[in-house]
Amino acid sequence: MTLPSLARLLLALCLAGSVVPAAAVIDGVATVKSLKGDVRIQRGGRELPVAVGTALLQEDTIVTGSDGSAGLTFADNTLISLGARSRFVIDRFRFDRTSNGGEFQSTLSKGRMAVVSGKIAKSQIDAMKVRTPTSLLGVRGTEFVVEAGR
Amino acid sequence: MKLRAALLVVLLAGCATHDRVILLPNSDGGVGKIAILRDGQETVIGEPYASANTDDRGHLDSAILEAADVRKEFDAELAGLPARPVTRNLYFRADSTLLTAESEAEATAIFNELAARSAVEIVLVGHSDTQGSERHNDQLSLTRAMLVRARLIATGISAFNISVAGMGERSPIVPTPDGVDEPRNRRVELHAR
Repeated sequence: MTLPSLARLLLALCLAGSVVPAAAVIDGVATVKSLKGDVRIQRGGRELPVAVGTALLQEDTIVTGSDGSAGLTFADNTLISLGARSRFVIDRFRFDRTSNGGEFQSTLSKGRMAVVSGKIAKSQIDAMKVRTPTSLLGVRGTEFVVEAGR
Repeated sequence: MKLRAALLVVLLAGCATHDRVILLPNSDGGVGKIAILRDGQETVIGEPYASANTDDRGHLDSAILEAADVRKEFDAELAGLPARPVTRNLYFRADSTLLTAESEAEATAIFNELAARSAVEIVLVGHSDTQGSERHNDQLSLTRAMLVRARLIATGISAFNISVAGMGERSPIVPTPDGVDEPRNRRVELHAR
């Protein structure tokens, strides 16, 4: 492929979606950025090997053990840090890179997490929601911690 | 046996489940809001270190906590947050793939910071000013982005983690007529997380 035709291809990609997403993000809704101790990812009833750089998908469940923790960065720049003895499910994640709008619903059924919300939460009121066993949280562009199932 | 099962249910019901959300100030000093949505009603917390407790009996109470206590209690989770996403512009000399002296001076520090991130994801988008033909600027802008990519790879970042595009003169920071020398438009936008 000549350089000008590569340029045109990239340009076409660029115009289609404002910027070309990094390779790891094309497939996933989030990337595992850090791992400590016992961390498991469940996808479709199966357990996946976990490594830094693993791409996560909608409906994935992340479970941490008593010494476990995980740092996740989502496609809309939401940051999530999952603490020990936690169980977190990405129920629904939809993000339009052109409009920066979308929908992000997740469940923390036990344990703790720290969150820095991203573009989805800024796009529309309650576009980002977090469910816990006894509450449903509408995230309105903010940083917070959640503790579930005490 | 039936009696025991019934007793267990009663005991479990007596042991209520509690959840808690605590709002933190944003890194820019502001503070957002969290709405606790229940039965069509919402309770909004919007102060730094405001907390809302909920349980499975439908109770909800809120309080303002001490910053130091929250930081200490959630130390591990807060310390475990991934690096914040960043966007930077690197500027170029006229019709050139050489960085300006100012951008060159800060480039190494930026590249090193990105190389230190785990599983870093980088998008580079090259741009030009309106001097020269569109075709020339398409190529120039992509070459600029490719040059930054090469520098990032030399810093130790895997090519797999970098995406590159050239936008030519189509997306100026400062809109100008054709044929204008505008330093602020000669740039590579670097998006990283």
